[in-house]
Amino acid sequence: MQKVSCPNCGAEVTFRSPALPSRICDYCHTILVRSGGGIEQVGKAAVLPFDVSPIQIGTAGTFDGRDFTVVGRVRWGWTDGSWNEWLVLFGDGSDGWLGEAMGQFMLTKERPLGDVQSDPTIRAIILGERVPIGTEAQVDGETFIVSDAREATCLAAEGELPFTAITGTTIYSIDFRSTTGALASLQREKTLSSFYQGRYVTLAELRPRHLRAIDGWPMPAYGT
Amino acid sequence: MDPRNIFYSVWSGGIGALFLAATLFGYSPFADGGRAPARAGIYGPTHK
Amino acid sequence: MTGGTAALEMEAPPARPPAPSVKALSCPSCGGTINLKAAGYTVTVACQYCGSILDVASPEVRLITEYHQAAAELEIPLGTRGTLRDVEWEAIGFVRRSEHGAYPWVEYLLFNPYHGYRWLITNGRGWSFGEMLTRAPDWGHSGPALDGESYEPFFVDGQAQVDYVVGEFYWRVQVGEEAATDDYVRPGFMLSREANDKEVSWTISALLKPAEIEQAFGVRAPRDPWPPLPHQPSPYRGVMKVGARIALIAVGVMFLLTLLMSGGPSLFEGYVPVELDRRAQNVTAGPIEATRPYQLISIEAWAPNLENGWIDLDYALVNRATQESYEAYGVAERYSGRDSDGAWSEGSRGATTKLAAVPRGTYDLVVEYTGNGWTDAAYGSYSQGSTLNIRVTRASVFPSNFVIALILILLPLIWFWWKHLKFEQARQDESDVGRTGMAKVFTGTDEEED
Repeated sequence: MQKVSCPNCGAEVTFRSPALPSRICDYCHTILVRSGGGIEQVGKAAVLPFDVSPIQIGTAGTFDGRDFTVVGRVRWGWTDGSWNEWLVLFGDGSDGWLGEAMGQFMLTKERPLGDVQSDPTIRAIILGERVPIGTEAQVDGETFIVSDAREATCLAAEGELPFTAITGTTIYSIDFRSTTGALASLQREKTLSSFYQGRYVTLAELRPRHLRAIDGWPMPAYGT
Repeated sequence: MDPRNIFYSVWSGGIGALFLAATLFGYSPFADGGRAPARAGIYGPTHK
Repeated sequence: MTGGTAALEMEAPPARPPAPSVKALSCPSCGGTINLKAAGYTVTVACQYCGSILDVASPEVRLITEYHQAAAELEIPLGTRGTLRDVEWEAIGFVRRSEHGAYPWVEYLLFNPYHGYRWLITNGRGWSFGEMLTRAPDWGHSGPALDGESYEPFFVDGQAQVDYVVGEFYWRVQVGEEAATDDYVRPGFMLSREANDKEVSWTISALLKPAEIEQAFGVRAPRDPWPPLPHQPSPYRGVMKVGARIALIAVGVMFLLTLLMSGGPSLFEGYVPVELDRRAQNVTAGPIEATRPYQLISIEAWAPNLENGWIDLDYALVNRATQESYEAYGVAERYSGRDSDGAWSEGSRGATTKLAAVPRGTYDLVVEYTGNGWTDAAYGSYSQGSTLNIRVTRASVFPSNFVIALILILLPLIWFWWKHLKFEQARQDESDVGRTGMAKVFTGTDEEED
């Protein structure tokens, strides 16, 4: 854990993970990036629009027997709505994304493109093509189907992140679903692609703690 | 339990009790006890 | 655990005051204040005051379609909260849908920030509680299967359109929007598939008991809708299941009794000569010991050489001690001959007679027997002499009583099964598939129409 002062407003900023280079100041929303030994300001993040998400930075939980903590979030928007991607940090220092859309949760971890780009559909997307909904792709012998493909724009971000989430950045995002509840997504920003794979989860199965209190709604017994 | 099943238990229990009583009493509705009415005059083959 | 664990052992997030649960907007059409309940998720709002459709996906509210209509009176007013299956839900959206105007039904969108979205679905005859699946069901031999339970097709190739909306929704809802639907059922549950050109979604909905929905949202549901709802469990299924167990126990006990008290030994055996000379003769057989408190006595008489004649048998079973007499009558008759079709014979050379409820004691059996010959020229001559064998046994009463008891015990079960069948037929008659299985097998030819 590294604590520094925000070069913009002077507030204390904590880097919990040594691996995550980007951090947004909780107070002045300045995007900070660690480079070398110093801290660099690379712009300002937009203020997050209000939502009633039950997750907040600091929410902890367990996924497949491994404890995690939520350390950051990116809010993405597209023409028909918006969703949250919460960055979760596992005990071994690895991270994953807890996606939150339509009241459902998905937990995915990044996989190297080398693992999956042998599939022609995935390779086509990486190479800049657009694929129609319903296109199939094989990952580890399992069939995934393109369920959604859209342009998404970074609306806002907070906390620690593995990349610099500049508000307004637009990506091409493709969602894959398998019939078993497994899912994957491919996100392409200009020529840079990343592949994430995971599955749907319920909030209850993550045994979350430190959920966000929402006025007038009783918090589930596990949530506090 | 469903009231219909309570009724059915009572019903089955009743039948079982009657069966037991019939068993102990050596009673059968198909017995020929008593004297059968005379059948005079209706003997003979019915073959046509 | 690696050293990274330390990174997780961080302070709990600072206690913050609870986040507000609503976000206020004002309708750009009518200026009314709309309290957004699912801020961050909601994409479309149908204003509760003027019905205008608003886009709230981006911070500035956009008017998509302007209406000036009073909101429909809803059975569950939006904003109503209710606890269903241990979770509190708030009704935030309402959709009325139909099959191109026919078979209307309504769907309430329920929300809880910790549990996401659910659906309350009703066609006015029953309420279901639906949840969207995050995976597709497996495919069984006749329909989809989910968690090992298979579902039968019920409504096939439907087209559902949106007729009216009010409230807030997490997708772009539009009046007139269409989806292809298929519904599959098992008792108590419906599995629905909805597809448009963009996506396929599956929803599992559980039929709510009238008491459940009334307790949760204060709405009344008919107790026994007729014809039954597609996924309404037959009220006879459970009764039959328990009933079958009750019947099994009762029959088992009776069967054990039958085994324990089956037929007894021979009490007397003997024979007398008999002539078919119309002469009444008497013979006394005994002693016959009846050892049980009560018993069924079986008397078998058998004349192996009897031909074209009959033997009247008058029995009197007389108690030696009390002179009480149990009387019965039997006849053995046997005829045979030859005609254009060849040889024929009829009757039986033997007769079994049963005396019920004979009390314990020592008895004599007085047999009055009269042999008669059939003297018709058309027939062959009657036999001249025969042996009449007589055997007395303590008989088992059980086979006949057992059969009667079995029928009586099964009667209510058959009745339940019949009612179940009628229920299933009425239920399946609402389906696009029609009757299947038992309901089809037991369809009379006269009611096959429709």
